[in-house]
Amino acid sequence: MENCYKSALEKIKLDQSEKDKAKELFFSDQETGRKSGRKKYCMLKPAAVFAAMAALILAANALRGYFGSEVLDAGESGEFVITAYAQELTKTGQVYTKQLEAGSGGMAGNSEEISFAFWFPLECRGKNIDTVTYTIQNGAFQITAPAGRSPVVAGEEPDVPIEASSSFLLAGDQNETRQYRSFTVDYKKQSNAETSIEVVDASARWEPEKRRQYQAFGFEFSDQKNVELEKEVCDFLTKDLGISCTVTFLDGTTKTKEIAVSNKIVMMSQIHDLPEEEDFGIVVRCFSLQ
Amino acid sequence: MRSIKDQEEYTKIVERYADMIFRIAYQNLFHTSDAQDVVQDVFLKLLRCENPCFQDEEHLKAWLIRVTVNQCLDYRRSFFRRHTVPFGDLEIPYEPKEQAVMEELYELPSDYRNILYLYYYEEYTIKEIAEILGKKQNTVNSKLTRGRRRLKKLMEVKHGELL
Repeated sequence: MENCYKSALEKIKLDQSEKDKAKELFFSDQETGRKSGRKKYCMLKPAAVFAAMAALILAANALRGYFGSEVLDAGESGEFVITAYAQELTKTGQVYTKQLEAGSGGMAGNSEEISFAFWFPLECRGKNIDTVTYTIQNGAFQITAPAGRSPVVAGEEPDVPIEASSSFLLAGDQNETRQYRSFTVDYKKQSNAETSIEVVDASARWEPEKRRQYQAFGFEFSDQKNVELEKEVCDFLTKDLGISCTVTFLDGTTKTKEIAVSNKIVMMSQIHDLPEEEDFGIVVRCFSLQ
Repeated sequence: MRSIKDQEEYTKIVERYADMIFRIAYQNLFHTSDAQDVVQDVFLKLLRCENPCFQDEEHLKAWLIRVTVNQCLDYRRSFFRRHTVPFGDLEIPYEPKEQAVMEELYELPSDYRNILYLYYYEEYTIKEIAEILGKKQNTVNSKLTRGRRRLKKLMEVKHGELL
């Protein structure tokens, strides 16, 4: 078995193109890095596309119980609740993202520019609901699904697409990724196991003042041990997304609820089985009603 | 003493150690793209090392291993890291037994994997591993024993084979 172990590991090799890229660092670092600090971008590579598809399927399967086509009715007619991971959102009760291993989110950039994407695991429950519409004031919803199988029945796209970290990741030959300022789904087909819904935004489209505010954090991606600072940055990124959910009932009436996104530091061991010595704090997204 | 003073020297180091760094990173993250990024980050750290003097080749290699492991830890610590996928995103034509070993490795904690790797693949002694990873020898020894036992147990349970 030891031979198998060695031979298995021997087969793990870095592409020559990546080696060449590492060699080129010698020049790029001399030109820019030593003077001003390297601007690190963690944008995704084509190689990640296939991996991402696997991640998408994994995440989707993990969430199948929450996003299945069979949506349970709840509440009185004319009322509705919003849930995440089968837990109801309230003004005081936060539900935080748990899908850390797949589909949880992505962030790219440096201390001057940033883009991000995070999983949007919400759905509505209620009686006599026809459709559900989500709207975002700042940023966009990014929905990825196999071509022709998106749950979106109507949507309004942003004027300019937002270049966010995971848009490339989730693209693929068989998947389509589209961004929306608002999108509508049928109540009974709010999502499906093949669909990823994320919230994305990028500093490239921000006003100068907001960019300056972000830059004031001095957040470097190479130093993410500072979980408190990471939370502050995340709070800044999610504080004014302006997400709302409007349901249209079968009689044509509508009702809207505002959704707040905040952030919280939790210990990894609260979410995953982890040896005590490896435990650490992470920042997770929380959803609640405004 | 040696330093990373010219391109030729640096290029040789990349050629010699890029696979090793990638192998360690991949075992820690099980994500090709992340592991590739770690390789770039480690070499960047090497270029930026404030005192890039290494006593000998072994000193350099140990430094690269330690930085790689730490870099992987940083990746794992970030919630906002990229999506990760389980073992299998690297398309390698494994033999069935090799595939089984890799699948079992995936189920081990990362520090166990690192210690197993340094012991069996890089053939470091327990004392050397302790120095590289900055852990006590007893800790390395017990994790090596436990890792080996867990791997063996997993193999016995799932494949009826012994390590």
